Formats: sequence, structure tokens, C-alpha cells
Amino acid sequence: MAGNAVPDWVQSILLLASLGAIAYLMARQASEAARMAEQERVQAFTEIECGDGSRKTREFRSGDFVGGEAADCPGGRVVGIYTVKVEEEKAGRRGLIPVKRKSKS
Amino acid sequence: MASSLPDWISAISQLAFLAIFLLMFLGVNQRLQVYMWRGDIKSKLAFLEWLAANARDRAKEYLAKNKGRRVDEVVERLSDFFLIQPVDIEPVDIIRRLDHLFNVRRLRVRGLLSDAMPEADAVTRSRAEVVLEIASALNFIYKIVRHLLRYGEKTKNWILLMQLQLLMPLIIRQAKTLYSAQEHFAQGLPVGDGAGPLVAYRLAGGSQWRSVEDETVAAEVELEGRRLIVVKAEGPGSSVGRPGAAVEKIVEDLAKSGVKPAMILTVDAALKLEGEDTGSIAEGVGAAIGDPGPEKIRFERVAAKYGIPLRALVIKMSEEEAITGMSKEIYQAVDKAVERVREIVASETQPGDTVIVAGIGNTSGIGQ
Repeated sequence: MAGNAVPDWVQSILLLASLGAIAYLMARQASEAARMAEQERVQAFTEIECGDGSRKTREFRSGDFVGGEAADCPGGRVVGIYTVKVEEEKAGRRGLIPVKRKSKS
Repeated sequence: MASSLPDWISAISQLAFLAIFLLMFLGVNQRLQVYMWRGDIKSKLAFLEWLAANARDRAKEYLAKNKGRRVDEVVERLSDFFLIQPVDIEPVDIIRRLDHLFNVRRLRVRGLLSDAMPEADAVTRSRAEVVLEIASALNFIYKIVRHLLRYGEKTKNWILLMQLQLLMPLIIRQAKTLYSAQEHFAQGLPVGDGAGPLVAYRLAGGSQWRSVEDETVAAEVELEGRRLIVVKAEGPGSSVGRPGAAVEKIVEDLAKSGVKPAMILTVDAALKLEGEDTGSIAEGVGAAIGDPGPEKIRFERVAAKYGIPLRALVIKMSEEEAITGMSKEIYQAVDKAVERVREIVASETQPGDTVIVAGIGNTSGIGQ
């Protein structure tokens, strides 16, 4: 029944579409593995209350704890520590698995 | 008449379709599906292995940095340390038995760390304890997933593999959270679960703290004419203390001097439901404490014994937020919780009353 035969270009398109779908699924699988290793970065801040009642905030330093003394101002005391998520576009997402980059030498 | 290329493609396609159709009756499609599930689980298992190995290395690093001795041996011993749950088909005195087992476990781990880190202070050792616990938890997750995968392969149990594959995203999420938490605990950051102790710290102001129970402290402060006794775990090391035992002791001591507290209020972090806002506050009745039983039951028993209203205030957060560095939303919610405590105390008690407020949670990074 030559009159009902599917044109060649339809078969080619179907073949290409199938290959494209397989490639897309494989790429999606690969990107899922990469996403799995991503970790949100946070930055910690320390809030200090000075002896005169004023407050200041700075980056967290090792040894800071709420209720501890702070040498940043006279009579300074740490009253709070909190974390803030680092914006993705600012710092980029840091993967859990370090990626070795090729040097441009 | 020579066949054209499209005819060949058509013939091969039909043959392939017929073959696939027949193979389906032999379960080949199922095998293919299982093969894909296995591949997915294996790739995630490799990631879990990486997390577990790194967590162990981090723990070794932490111990070595703090002049630890026999670091490898201590980490290996504690990474497989276990606690066997008490018999529960005979529930009589189960809380006492559970409490005893927890105490033995705590003392043994502390003993091991004291021997391994003789020069370290209590705060450093308490952090080492959590760092090691997290390394142990990650190692356990990795081993369980590996066991289920191999067992499923060995017994050709495709339902087990399917369930494991569906659970893997959740397992990976929890493992990643634990891995982040390990770093935050090692740094001495307050975690979301520290919201309760931070509320207690704020309420106490600059009052003098005294030790009441093991790793648990209390302070007295006046609030709108009421005598407020604030209880929290002793910081800034990583500890949850024994708030139930401490409150029980305080109430019994007050009873001896003829004083009955007008209220016991527990403040704790609570897991939010999806859709709820982090830092939202809710109040209710009962003991807001997420321990396995021994501490919570002490609140309930002592409150029931003396007929003291037992009230609860919770700050909501996700599981991830509870064990990683305290987010700004939770930090801001602490001030709102302090205000709510003041409102509850002012509206439900009379001037001159004694009120006990217990800030429940891990006090990492929060001193007194």
C-alpha cells in the first residue's frame, strides 16, 4: 500500500526526537548528581552590646559565644550569634566535593 | 525490486517492537527498571560514603587540633558505639531503665573523651562529643543504605530497591544536613535548637546562674512582681543538660519551704510543618521537650504531683534549621518568644507568685 506509507522525513524526525529525549534524560541525571553535592553556604555574625548600651554587629570569630566578653568596645558582651545564607549569585554555590580546576599557566 | 532504506527501518522497527513486546512477558522491563533504580541508589550511596568518610576525617582533625591522643582508635570506637533500647513489652520502670542507660552511655563517651583529650576543657570535649556523634550517625546511615541495597540485590527484592530509591532523596537531604551541622557544632555556633536556651538567657538578663543538675543551671530574676526561676543547659558547650531533673529538684526544694510554683513554662524549638513560617511561635499545654522520655516525664510527674499548670511555648523551624547554625529568622523570633513569655506570666499568674521557665534545647554557643 504505497499510498499509506509514512514519509521518510517523519521517520527521521521520530528517530531524532527519540535520540534527543534520551540525551535530555541522561543530561538531567548527570545534573541531578551535581546538584546533590551542592551545599548552601552560610555566614555567621556576632551581635555585641557595648557598655554604653550601643550595639554592633561583626562577623563571627572562633571563641565567640552568647554571654561571653567581646573586646570590640569597652564593656562589650556578645548578646547574639546568627547565620545568614550567602546569596548564590554573590558567592556561587559551593559543592561539597571540591572540584580541581585547571590552572591557566 | 530492491528494498529501500525506509522499508528496512520499518521492518527492523516492527521486529524490535515485537521482541520488546514478547520480552515484557518475561519481566525484562521490570529488570530494566530495577537496573536503573540500582544505578541511582549506587550513585547516591557513593555520595553517602564520601560524606561519612569526610565526617570521620573532620572528627579526627578536631581531636588532633585539640591535642587528642589515640585519635584514630577513639574515632573508630565511637563511630560504632551503640545503645540497646530497654525491654518495652514490660513497661514497668522503663523510664528509669532508659534514664540509666542514657547516663551510662553519656559517662562512657565522656570517659573515653577525657582520656583522649586530657588537656582540653569541658566545652571543647562537649563539642568533640557532638562532632563524633554526627560522624557516627553518617557512618550508620551509609552502612544501612549499603546493607539494604546489597540485601535487595541478593534476594532480588525489587520492592525493597524501589522503596530505597524513592527514599534516597530524603536520606541524602538528612545526611547533608548532618554534615553541615557537624561543621557548625565544631565552630561553636548556636544552632536553631538553641532558641529555648537563648530565650532563657535573655529572660535572666545579668542574673547570677547556679548549677542545679548535671550540666544544667538556673537563675532567679524578678518579672513584673513575680519570682522567675529560669533553667537552661550549661553553655557554651554543646549540651542539652537535664532540664527535667533540674525542674523536679527546684520544685521539690520549693515545696520543702512551703512554696508552690504558679506555673512551669517550657520553651523549645519545634518542627514546623511544610508551609509554616520559620520562627512562628505557638503556645499550648504540656512539656515542650523532644527527649526520648526520661526528662519529659519528670516535668509531667512533678507538675501533676503538685497541681502546677504546665505550659509550653514553641518556636517553629525545619529539621535542618534545628541542627544547623541559628538563622536570622529564628534569632529574631527569640525576642518575640521572650515577649510572649512575659505576656503569659503576667496574664496567668499573680504578683508574688513563683514561676519556673525552662529553655529547652542544645545550648551550643550560648553561655550564661
